[in-house]
Amino acid sequence: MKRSLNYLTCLLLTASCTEFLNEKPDRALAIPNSLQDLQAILDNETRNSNLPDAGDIGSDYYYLDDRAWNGMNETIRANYSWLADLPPATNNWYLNYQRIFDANVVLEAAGDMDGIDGKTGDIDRIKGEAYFLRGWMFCQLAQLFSPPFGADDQNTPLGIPLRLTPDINDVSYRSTVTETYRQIISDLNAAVQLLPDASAYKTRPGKAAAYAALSRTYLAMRDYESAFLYADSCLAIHNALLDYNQLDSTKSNPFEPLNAEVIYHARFFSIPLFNSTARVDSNLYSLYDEADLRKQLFYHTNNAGVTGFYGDYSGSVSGPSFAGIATDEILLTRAECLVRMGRIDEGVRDLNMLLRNRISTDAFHELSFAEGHDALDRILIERRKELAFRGGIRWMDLRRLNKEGRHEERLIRRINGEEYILEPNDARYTWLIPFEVVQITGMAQNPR
Amino acid sequence: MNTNLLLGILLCIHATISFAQHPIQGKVSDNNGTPLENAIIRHDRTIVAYTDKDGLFKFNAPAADSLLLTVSHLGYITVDKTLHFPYEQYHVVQLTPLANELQEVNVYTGYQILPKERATGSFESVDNKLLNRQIGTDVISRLNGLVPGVLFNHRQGDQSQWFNIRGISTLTASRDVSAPLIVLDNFPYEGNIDNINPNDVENITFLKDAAATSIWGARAGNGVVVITTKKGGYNTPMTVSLNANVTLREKPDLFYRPQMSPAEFIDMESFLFEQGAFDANLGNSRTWPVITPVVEILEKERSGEWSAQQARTAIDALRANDIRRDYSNYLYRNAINQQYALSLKGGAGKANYLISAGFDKNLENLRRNSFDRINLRSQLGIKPTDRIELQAGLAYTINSSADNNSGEIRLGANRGIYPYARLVDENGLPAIIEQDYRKGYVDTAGGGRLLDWYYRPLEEVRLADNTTGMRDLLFNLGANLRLARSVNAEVKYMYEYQTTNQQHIRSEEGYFTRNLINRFTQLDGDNIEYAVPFGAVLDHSMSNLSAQSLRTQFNANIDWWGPHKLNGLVGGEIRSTMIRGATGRQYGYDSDLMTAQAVDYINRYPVYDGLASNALIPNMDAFSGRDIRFVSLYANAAYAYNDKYIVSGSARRDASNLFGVETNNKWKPLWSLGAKWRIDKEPFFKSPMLSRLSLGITYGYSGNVNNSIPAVTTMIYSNSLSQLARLSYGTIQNPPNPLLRWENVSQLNVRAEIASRNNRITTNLEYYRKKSEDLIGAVNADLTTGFMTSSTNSASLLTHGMDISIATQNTVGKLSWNTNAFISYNTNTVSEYLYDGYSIASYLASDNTIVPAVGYPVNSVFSYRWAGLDPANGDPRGYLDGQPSTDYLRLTQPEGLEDLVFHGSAIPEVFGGLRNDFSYKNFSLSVNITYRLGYFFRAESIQYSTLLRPNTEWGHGDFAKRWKAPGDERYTQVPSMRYPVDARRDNFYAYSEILVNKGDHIRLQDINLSYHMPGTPVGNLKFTLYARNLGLIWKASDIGLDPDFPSMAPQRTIAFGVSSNF
Repeated sequence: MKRSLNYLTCLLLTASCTEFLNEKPDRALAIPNSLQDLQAILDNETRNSNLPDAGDIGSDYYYLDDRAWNGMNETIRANYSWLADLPPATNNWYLNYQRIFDANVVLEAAGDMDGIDGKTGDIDRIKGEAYFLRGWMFCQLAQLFSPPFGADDQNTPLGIPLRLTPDINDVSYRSTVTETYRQIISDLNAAVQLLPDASAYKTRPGKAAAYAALSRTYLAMRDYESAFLYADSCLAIHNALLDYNQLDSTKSNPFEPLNAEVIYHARFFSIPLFNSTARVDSNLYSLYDEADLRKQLFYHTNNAGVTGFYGDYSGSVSGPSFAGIATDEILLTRAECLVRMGRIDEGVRDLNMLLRNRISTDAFHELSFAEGHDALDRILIERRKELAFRGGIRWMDLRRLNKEGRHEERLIRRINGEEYILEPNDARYTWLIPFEVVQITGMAQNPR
Repeated sequence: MNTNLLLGILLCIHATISFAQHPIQGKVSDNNGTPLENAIIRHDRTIVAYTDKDGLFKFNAPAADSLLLTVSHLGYITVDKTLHFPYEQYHVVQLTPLANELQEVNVYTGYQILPKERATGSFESVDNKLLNRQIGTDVISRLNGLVPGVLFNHRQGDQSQWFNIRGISTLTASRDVSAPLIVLDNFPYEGNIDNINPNDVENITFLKDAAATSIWGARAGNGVVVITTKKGGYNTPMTVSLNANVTLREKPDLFYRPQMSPAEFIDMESFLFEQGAFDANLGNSRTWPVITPVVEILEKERSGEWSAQQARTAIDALRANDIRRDYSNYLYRNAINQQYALSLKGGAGKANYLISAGFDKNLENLRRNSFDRINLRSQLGIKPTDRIELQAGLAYTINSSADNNSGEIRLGANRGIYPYARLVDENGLPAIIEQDYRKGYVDTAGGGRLLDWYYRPLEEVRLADNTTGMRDLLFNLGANLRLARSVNAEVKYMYEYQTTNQQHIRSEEGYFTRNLINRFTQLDGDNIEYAVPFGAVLDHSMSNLSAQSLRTQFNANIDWWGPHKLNGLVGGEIRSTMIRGATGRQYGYDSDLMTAQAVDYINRYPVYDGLASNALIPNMDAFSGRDIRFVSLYANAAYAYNDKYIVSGSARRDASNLFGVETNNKWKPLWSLGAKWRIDKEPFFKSPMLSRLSLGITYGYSGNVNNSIPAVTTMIYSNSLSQLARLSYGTIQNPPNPLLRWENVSQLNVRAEIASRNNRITTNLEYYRKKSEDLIGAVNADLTTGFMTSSTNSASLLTHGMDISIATQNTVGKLSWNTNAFISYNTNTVSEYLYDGYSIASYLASDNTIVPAVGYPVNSVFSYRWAGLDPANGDPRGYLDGQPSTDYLRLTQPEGLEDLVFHGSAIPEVFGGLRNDFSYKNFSLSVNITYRLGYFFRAESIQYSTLLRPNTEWGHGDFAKRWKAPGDERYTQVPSMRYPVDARRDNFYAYSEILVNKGDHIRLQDINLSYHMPGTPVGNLKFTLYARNLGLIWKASDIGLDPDFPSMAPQRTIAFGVSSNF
């Protein structure tokens, strides 16, 4: 009786009950299982631009005066002065892992699609983008929450959790530093295999971006030969530089988003350092010659006498937010590696190539160095000048260069009459993991 | 609605009826011959006379073949008397006191109408008399404080339509998931509940226990409310009723919530200025953030432009301003709501009808905001043969609302108003208030070549044109076919179409449009380029809902089988709701010519003066669609033996597209069983005191559809393209959750009904025990998963409670005095929770989100233990390792629940009402007192971290009571002001024990005073005066706030109504 009644009522409105009940409740909802869906997940620019800012808050290219510092919230105050007991804002962790989850969803779904006729190229590209994202995000996290890579202390120090599936029931635990970097390299290599040379959009990674990310990773590992090889591969695909002589320094921000130099566009999850409060470090500022166009294009002194940074590659007018990859970084990496490998002339040629586009044409002179260490010193100085306020780079550089006595830095903050010092290789170069995460997972906290 | 016209119709009808009059008189007495005063004499249901103190009555009757007189008196059995023409002149009527029989009450389940006598389940009825005791625009808010077990959530305001039946049964706080199911006549109502005109409502039945609700299956876990509308009756003469009322609602008291005084705020800004907190904003010559007037003055003083004296004078002049006064004077008014309703109904042998119309016009407290509603309804019943009855109904509602005044002014997207602002300048013109940019920048920007860039809030209210119109058509058809002596089949169909259109015209004169045009203007030498065209910006949105339901049902009713009575039904139902929406925007809109202009959404345009990076012109086009489908089967039966033993059972199965295939397949039926024993009908029951005693018990399951979380990974496509690459993109919404099931609620209900001889005292006692299982709980997730929270079926909740109601007739006769009282007790405990990975501090996070702690009520109030203020510096202190401490980092990360103070529930565990109804001659008075006991609330206080920052928010009034110097800790518990701020210190204080207060209170809910005037030329008139929100009678806490309304006191309202029946 019941069954026939059920059948009857269904018949009155639709052909079959199952079909009637299969309608999805919300039209905008999709179960990600088509290539279009996966591409849409990857093309989410907001989520691609959730890169962490903690390293930059702790970096030395800027300072806050007492009044500005007093006006900040306690997390930024603590991170600025490297207080030992506070982790950075939770989003540094959460938003990165959110994107890693997305990448894992895409990888799992794309894996199920292998073998769809005629779509192999698209499936490969989508998988390549997801591998890139995962490796790139792991690399960002490693610079904050994993101790610096040291070839000598393998397997013991703990790196970051490596989540490789979208199953949220998997328990998070920390891998070793070696495993962390091995995973980053493996993901980025997989991306290199799958991605096209250049992507149609700078918000999507191509091979050039994957090579660049590998180059940055090897640089952080101080494997200069590999860093050189990948930088070179990247530049073989993309080596365009902006000629700063052609830019207008009177604009609010002379740089357009997605400009010719950008290889892969990404941003911080927020603007960590507003240019009306974060003042450029005076030592750094004094390094720019008057003929150095970057001095005018990057910096501006506002009505209150604050000299802040306005040269953001994402086009922001309020402060730095670009945290992606651009030609200048990779060119400087190649220059540094070449010099370290003893190929001084080739390295200095790269440096000159960059500076020709940075120094006023009438004042530019080619540099040349007899000694490798002089060339290296100069390249590192130019790296500071070129990549100041560029997301994710200075903190990574500080961590790796501290491993070389010659280039180590002792950072000092002066706040309300007190000095806060971050010694080279201090444990605080590795941030605390957010308390919520440690509390829920029971994973080991970074030592203090 | 034209009232003159109505009056005209009314007079015409009356004239026809009273064509020829014949005097009739008589006497009413009880069966001892004692005269009864105030007995009511009705002719064709219309009151024509009352008896005087000698029991005598007199009226004029029209000539007719026969005349039906009804004589009634409270506490006596009503007598019908038919007179034949020519009438006898004198009539003696004897009334018998009510002894054993109460008036028969029916309960409406939405599937059947049952005599309450034979129902085993727990039902509460509100008839239209009780419903009309309160005056208001909507149906739901009239029920506040009347029904045992029903608690309104006052946090949503005193006109809240958010209520729970017998406490909460789910952990999901959202109203969609936690609200009871609302059924209009026979089907769940999908439209806007405000569409229903209370004058059309005959009865509202609350279904509370499993036996009552399980017939509604997977959506009944939170209880069910069945609203039944009025219908005509067969063989009844036409009655006309008219109702008109007007309600006056006072302006809200904006000074109720304690806030810093403007002078304190000015001093605080001066302090922040000295600290350099505004330096970054003052120096910002790129985006020119807003600077408040006091800071501008201080900056002028610092730069030497003004002398110290000049600055002080200018600042002191601002101290006397208070924006709350201006808000009250210029943005608010006393609200006036008017309501008119007319209905005609009646019927002959084969047909009945009802036609009604209603009109509501509300002028809201906020000026230029209003709500209008027109209701038209007709309902027809036809019996073409003895075997067939057909029903058809049509209801059409038109409502429109204007939302032109938000009541709040902000300085930009993330900046609140400063308290010394003014809405009107010294010349009485709308004042300029800073908005988005610094005023000095706007003064000179563009050198006169841009549109006026000032923001005048009062002008904005005048220019606003934001209206929403809704049309709702509800159509129902029903056919009932008698198949055999006691079996019939029925088919019911309902179709609803509701369309909502919002149109927000942002005039070119308004700030929004001027600002948008200016931002996209480029001045290039003499050349001016506009990317956004001149003219208004029109934002529009449309939403259509269409719902269809079809039900086929077989009913059996066997009452001819000796002592056996059997009553059962079985049926199937299919329902489909489709919602489609679209929003969009037009630029350069001209409402006279009805034209708009195209804009370029593709290219990025420079923003004026580099105020922001190059931007796209906002494209607001968006579309949405939802589909909800249900297929259900159900059956229900009750068997009674000798009217003494009654057993009942019901079962239902649902399938829906919301659950996903897995859940539909795994489904087990929801069922209930019930039994009732009429002890008073047993031969051994011989009580001189009691006329009725019955016991009932029910048990069963109902479900709760929580469609907030799908079972599979889903993504949602953005309705716009990505910012830079201009690609379509999506966002993953949730992780996969293949184990998701709907929540289910089992309930045991035990009930006793007791009535004294003469029914002078009737009581209903109910005890219930609910177990809600598979509750979906959102827990703080391991952030490494990429989710802040994860939701899954993870918790169980045990609820138990009692509903006791008692009705007494204290006096009868000249002065009648009846009392209706109820008390409800409801408490719950989280009995199971499958997750242990969450931080203890999340128990404190908010009183509105639910973080379950096993062994505690769902809505528990916890706090940090308070160790007083530090005598040295006024820091708030808690306890760490038994010692007072100011280590806020550790204090706000407690390790276990034992580190917190548990106060109790945030929801009243005991609540009830006491209603006394008096009537004397033609006057009646009804006073309702309500109370809520056994709960706690957190008082607000000063939060320095939102106050002491460049984007300062107007702080709490406790600022004045803060600790300032050693020794103050003896008088105050408000922490000292500290700069730099520490949000953890604020957080510790905000969630400390010291701010938790008892919520217990007794409230004078409302008073209704009525005067009856029978037999006037315009029918039986009733005049009503109704007052509401009259204040608290008692409260447990000593802070000066109403515990249920801590941020805005409920405004007093007074209403005057007149109604007529003839």
